Amino acid sequence: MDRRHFVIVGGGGAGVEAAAALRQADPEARIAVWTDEEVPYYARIRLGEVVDGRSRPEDLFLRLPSWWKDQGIELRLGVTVEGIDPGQGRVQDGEGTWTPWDALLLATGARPFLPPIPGIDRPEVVTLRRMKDALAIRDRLAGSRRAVVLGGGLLGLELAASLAQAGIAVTVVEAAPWLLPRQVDPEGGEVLRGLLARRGIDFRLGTTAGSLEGGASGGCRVVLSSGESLEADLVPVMAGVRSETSLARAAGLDVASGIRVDDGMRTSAPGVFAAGDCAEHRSGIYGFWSAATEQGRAAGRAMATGDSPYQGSVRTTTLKVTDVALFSVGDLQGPAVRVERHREGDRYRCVRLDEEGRVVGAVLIGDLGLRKALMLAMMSRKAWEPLQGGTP
Amino acid sequence: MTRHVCLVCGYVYDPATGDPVGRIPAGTAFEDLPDGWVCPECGAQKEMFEAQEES
Repeated sequence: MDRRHFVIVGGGGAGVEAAAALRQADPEARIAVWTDEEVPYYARIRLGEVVDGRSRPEDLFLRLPSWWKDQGIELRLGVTVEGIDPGQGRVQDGEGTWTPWDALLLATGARPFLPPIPGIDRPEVVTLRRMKDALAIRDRLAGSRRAVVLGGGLLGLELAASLAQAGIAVTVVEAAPWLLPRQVDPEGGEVLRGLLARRGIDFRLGTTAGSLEGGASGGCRVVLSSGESLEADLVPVMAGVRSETSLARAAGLDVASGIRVDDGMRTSAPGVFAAGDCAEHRSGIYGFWSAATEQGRAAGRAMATGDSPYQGSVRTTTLKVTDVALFSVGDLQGPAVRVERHREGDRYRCVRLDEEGRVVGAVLIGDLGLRKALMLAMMSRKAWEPLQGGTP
Repeated sequence: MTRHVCLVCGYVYDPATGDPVGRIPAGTAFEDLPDGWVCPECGAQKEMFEAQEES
């Protein structure tokens, strides 16, 4: 049999895990990973460590240079993709060269969402998604005194903590009335706000940035919908991401918010697969790391063997801000039959149960002792033993 | 030797491969990882790992 040729567009968690799974399933195949970043596969979740100087870029790399060679996986850095041609089974790089494939994986990830407000193109505005973004923010810290972070989600708070750590006065602006609106219930959000406020982070909740204007002292002025204005020389926009679907769309693939895939990570075009933040599976885009790597592994197996192995992923969240312990899993907004809440100072616990007494979602703050038990309860779908009063 | 999975991000520590980037040689049991070792993918500490059932 001729060696099959697999091309993977995207060098993040989904793309590289797919390549490794492909190699495992097909020792002979030609496998190429193309990424438009200048660095090889790294721990994207840890980019904040590069911002505040705890880690160098290479500390975040997830494979040794020898791994690529040993696995026989060709890695092309800094390559853009002009277009894909599913009918002919080929992909064109930014230099105009067409490369044929037997199967193609789109693991193009997501890009930061920039709200369409006046002044969003100002030089104070930064995002944090790629290694070069982290390095750019790091290099601007010395010249910055005040930052206004737009977005009080997980990544916004982690970046805010990194900036505060670096001695910058930080204000976080969040549209929802509480922090981490997707991962935490309102009461938990309030506990978290108290903890972060003590670390010197200021908050404006329930308001949004209406515009960015020239500031009095050289930076800019963030004008909030509440009427207040905040001066800043750094404005990280951490208001979520959007799936990167432009290649798929241009090639006529079925795209909703993400590139639509089935349980075998197959798109609507034969031979073309998608995984990770760019993919929409059963009408959902997960947008978190373990889902991307799980989808990548599933895609690799599917491309090599035709299996349809992916059944969805469980969302968990752990805030990685030093000495603020927070864990969240599952659904905090949907219907729950019973909700257990317990608060004691800075320690907070919320467990949401369905009619069978099974855990559908949970939040722990301050003491994460129950996190393993909660994870296992969710995965096994067994009934949860209710707890009395204080934290065990 | 048992594999361990990170409950934060899904990374699997496999003693058969160790953590080459973190300079942990192949053959190192999870229990023998140094205290300061963190999950290479998300930075979580060792206590966030759970032994994985044999499959």
